[in-house]
Amino acid sequence: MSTNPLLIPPSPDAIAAYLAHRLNEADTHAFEIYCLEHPEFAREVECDLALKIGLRQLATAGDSPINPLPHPETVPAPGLIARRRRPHWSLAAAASIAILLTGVLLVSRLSPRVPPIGFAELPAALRQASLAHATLIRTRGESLDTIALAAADQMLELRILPDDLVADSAAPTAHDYSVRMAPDTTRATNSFLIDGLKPSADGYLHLYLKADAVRGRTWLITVTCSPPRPGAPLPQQFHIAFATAPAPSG
Amino acid sequence: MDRLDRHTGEGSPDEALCERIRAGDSAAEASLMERLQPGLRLILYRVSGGDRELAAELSQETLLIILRRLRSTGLNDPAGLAAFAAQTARNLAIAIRRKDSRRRTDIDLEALDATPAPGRSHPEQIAVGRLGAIVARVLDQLPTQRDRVVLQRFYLHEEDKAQICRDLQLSDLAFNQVLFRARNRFRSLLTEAGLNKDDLLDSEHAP
Repeated sequence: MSTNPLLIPPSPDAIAAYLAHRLNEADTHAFEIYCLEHPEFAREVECDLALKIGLRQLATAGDSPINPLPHPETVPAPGLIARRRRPHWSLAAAASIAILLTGVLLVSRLSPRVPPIGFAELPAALRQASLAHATLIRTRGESLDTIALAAADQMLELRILPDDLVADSAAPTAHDYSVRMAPDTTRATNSFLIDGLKPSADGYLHLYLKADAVRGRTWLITVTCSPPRPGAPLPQQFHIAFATAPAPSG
Repeated sequence: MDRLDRHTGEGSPDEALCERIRAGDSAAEASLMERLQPGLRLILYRVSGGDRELAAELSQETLLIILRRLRSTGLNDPAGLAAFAAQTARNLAIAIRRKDSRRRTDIDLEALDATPAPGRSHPEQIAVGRLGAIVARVLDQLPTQRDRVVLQRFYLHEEDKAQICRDLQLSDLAFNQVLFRARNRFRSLLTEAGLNKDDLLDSEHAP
């Protein structure tokens, strides 16, 4: 065999090139012989491979209920971000389906309790749609409430108005916000964090959720401003339960 | 890549190991298996088209072939043990592929497609396995969205590092730091999840 062994450990770039099948045959064989001669190095490469496999699984399954990994084209360079753009799938869905499910969940302790708007209350024509928007106007106090989701796959647009923006509406887009969703359960389930969110011109933060990923659980949602505003009542926290709506009859 | 002209000379560690195995030293056999296994898994994962279970099976078969050879006739060039192991693994994978291909010509292909393979899960059939769940936690814990994008573009889309750095206005150092942090966190979470280094790629088959 003519392959010469490597003199030094392959660089991280070479590891990436090997895993991406970008090395030529001779370099591939040299890399593999190095792995056979250096098991610790081979295990490091396996670790990178496992990371790739995990990322691929996530991308395939779209497991994260918060905005899935954005397509590279949707992420501009630092400093150029005016506000988080919608993932491409939501644009496609929004273009084809025009449904607005406005759920005013809890306005405040002083206002009368508004019942959640569920799937059954939607007009029949809208029940066939695969996309629903829920507009969360404001939540405070006893914030546990329920959004009923259709059994079919849905994308849910969640719009949150941060508390501190109500007190300081002069510059709604001056701060970044992070939103964490944590399942209110003892089961080992991941929480999800999305940061760098900018309020849109109307002051709302926009999140896009996969209905199937949040269904059947109560989530504690925490909104944090970065950097914190002096005297602002943050972090803002509230619970939302996502339930499955009964199947439409007829 | 920087290469070393192969000349390990007389009395190389590989040569000594081969001698001991030929003399029936079981400790030497264990040492050889421990050394070759991670590299063989990688090679076979690649040549089997990403089939983790098949790679694990073939890795064991390759080790058996190598051990039988070393116990009996030995190698003409013991210093080339790693190259011999790599070639044996590739040959075995090619033989299995040919065998499978011949088998497929003798059976009803439609019936085969319609029948789920009971013991072997194709990677695409896995929704989110343990690795996916752990990677989700890594992504969750990265400090910025930019870091998540770096991981996605580098590992998932297999984009060129220089291009990613240009697009995101990242220095080489900053890029490496993002990867370093993510990989370290991933390893810590793997350890927390009880996945040791030898069962990483098999972890999807665990309950």
